Amino acid sequence: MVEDKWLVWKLKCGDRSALCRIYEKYKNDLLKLALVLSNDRSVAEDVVHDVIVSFAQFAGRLELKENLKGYLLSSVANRVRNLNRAKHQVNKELDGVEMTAPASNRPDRWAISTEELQRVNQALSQLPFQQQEVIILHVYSRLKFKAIAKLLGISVHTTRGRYRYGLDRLRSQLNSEIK
Amino acid sequence: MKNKDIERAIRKICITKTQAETTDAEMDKQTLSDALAAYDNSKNLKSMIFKTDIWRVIMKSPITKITSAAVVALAILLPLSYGAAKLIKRFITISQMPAIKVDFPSGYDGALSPDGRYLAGNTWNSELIVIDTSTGEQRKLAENCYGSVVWSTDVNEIAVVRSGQEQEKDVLLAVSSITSKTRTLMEDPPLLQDWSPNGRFILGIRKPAVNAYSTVMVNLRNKEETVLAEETENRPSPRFSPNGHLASYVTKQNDQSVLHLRRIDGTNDVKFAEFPGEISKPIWAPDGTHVIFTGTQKGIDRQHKDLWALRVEGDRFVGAPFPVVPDVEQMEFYNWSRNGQLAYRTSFELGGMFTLPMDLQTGKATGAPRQLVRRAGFSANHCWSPDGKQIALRKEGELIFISASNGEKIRILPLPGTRGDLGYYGRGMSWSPDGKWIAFSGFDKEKNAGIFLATLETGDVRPLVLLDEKLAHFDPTWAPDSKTIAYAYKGDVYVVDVEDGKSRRITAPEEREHKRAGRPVFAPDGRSVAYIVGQRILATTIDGQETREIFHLKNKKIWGINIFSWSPDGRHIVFTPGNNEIYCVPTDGGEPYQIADLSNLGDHAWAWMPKWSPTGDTISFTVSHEKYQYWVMTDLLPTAELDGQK
Repeated sequence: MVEDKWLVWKLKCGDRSALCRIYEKYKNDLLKLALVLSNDRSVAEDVVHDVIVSFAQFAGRLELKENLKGYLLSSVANRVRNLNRAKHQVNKELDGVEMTAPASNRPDRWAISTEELQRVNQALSQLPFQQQEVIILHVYSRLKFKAIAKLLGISVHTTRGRYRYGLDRLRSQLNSEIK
Repeated sequence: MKNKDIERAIRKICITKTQAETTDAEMDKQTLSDALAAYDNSKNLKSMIFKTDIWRVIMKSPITKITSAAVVALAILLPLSYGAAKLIKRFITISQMPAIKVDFPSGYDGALSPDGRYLAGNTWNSELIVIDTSTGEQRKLAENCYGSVVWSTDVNEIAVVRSGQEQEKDVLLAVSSITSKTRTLMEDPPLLQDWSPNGRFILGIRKPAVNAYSTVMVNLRNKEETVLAEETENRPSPRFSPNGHLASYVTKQNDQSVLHLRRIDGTNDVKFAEFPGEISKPIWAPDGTHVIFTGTQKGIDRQHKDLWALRVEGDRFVGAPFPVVPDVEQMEFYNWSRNGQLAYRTSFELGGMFTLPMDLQTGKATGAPRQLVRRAGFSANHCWSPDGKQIALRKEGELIFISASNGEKIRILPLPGTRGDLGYYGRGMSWSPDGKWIAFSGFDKEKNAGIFLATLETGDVRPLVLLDEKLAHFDPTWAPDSKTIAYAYKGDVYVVDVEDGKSRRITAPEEREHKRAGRPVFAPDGRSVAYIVGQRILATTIDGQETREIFHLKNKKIWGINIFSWSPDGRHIVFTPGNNEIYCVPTDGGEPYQIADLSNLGDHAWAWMPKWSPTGDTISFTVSHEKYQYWVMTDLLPTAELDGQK
């Protein structure tokens, strides 16, 4: 959006209020993505903290080629990936969070939906992080493949490949479970 | 399951996982505080040393003295650096608008109504507000607005861009200044710059690429967009002439600023390209006889920013520009209203290094904070000499040593081998108790982050420990024996032996409940290192065996613990929450109490980096603070010019 370009320009001009506005505007989106990718609230908080502080530090020299939100989201994804690499950590279920589907008018559907979500969630957590990341950025953050590719520094072809392989894997896992 | 079902399920999962997840106040404070600190440190701060000339003195005095509208007559001696070297002696009248509590962010131009009765603008809360310039009364007219605002000629409406929510597009609105009712002028508008007197056109800026601006004019009836100037690297600031027949704007051609005067029907485009410097923000005089602009010229030791005027007759420039107001570095001009008032915002950097006198026995302040150094390009990083007589500051690629009693500069020590192009060197510096070294966080020329040691006798710099981190927020702190340094790294606290450079971690993730530990400070007895974890200060012995809680902030009225320092006797801790307050707390238990309140400087003053002097009688800290005032200026053109007798 035009406002984002304006905010970044303001930030580069030395106006610290722009930083507050950017943080306020995107903090929850960033936290949610970090949480979805890391499955850990405290890690997610740390990731958002580091991304915003890093963004603030280098804002003066930032040359944004993509939209600001996309840039920040990809920074979150990169940071979570690096953390995962560093810790050789397999994604784990979100501690203490029960997986319930959003309320629906029909209780029977609610139950089915919840069970289904549990299975998809479990299968998703088994995917390699690179595939999870692309799927979540595309499906949840609604970024286009081209944008994801640019943000992650990979080709569109690779991005689509990761998405397709991830989804195929999920489908095969879920359908085989049904069988 | 089909792919579409899986995608839908994944989206539901993500929403379910995160629907109740929002940042909390503690996280917001910590993140914003750290981000602002990193941002402030990274800025290439300009020298803000005030000169004691008549202009400054007059502009400065109202900060503390004038709260209501005041009128000041200025006698200005203008040195003409363009054309003939002569002096003009004349009078300009300036008056401050009544106490305006809101701040229109820099770049979001406010606008004085044509009759001068109201000032309108967008706040950082994205609210369009209008202020009565005689009473100070303010009204909110619209929300989610940004950018500059423009009044209609009849004072009934204000043009403003409203930010589109979610998938919506931004819209340009005309908002009634009386009823707040809105009407849409266009969707997806350019960045608004001006609205024609007949209300049929707007001038705006599109930004097709990084550092490139295009000037466009939009016919609001048929939404036809005309590009007046293709990409230019500086902001063109287009404005309509008062009769609406002409548009002025700036471009850059062959590194030369060019001021354009163009008929809006495209039949004529006159250029002025002889100004020896940068032209920015041309504004029309209400009678259309002149265009004034901010001219920036390079001087011998600094650049000069003055307000210039250029005469216009018909659709052409006449003669050469002449200076009308000197030294407008800190002024941001808005518009020149029909009643003859040129509205502008003035900013003042009021921060710097402050000291607070203390009684070591009681841990109470014995006086008010005193400004030691006005902010003059140094970062907030500083440390005390072991004898308490000097304070060392970081500034670009050097250390500056000042007197702790009067702020006078004593010595400058260049820091060879450290990275100087970032303008950012990391957080934290500490003077060794034996007086030989200063340890600081930063980067070397190869972009390696780490902790470096500067030898004070020779100025040599050597890396003590290199750390894999993009942000050099290591906060090194010396042990009293000058043999060990503690530092923060990736959420843990480490100690490193200065002799062999070997590091070891002393904090345990489980003891800090897996939260980040940071900003370590060596205890005065040298046996433990204290650090911040959330709202607590913990101390771990340097062998890492024992951790105890020094302080737990439970008072919800206090913002948090941003950064702290021990008193030299270890009996108190001073900390700043990241706002305009400074607190002290006994280390043997007890409630924190306020020792300084900087609210007299303003709501947004921010105290940071408190350091207790080794002698215990002073606490130093830095303050980040800017203040804004809104003024109008009249009679700025010389009478001879107005009469056309040039």
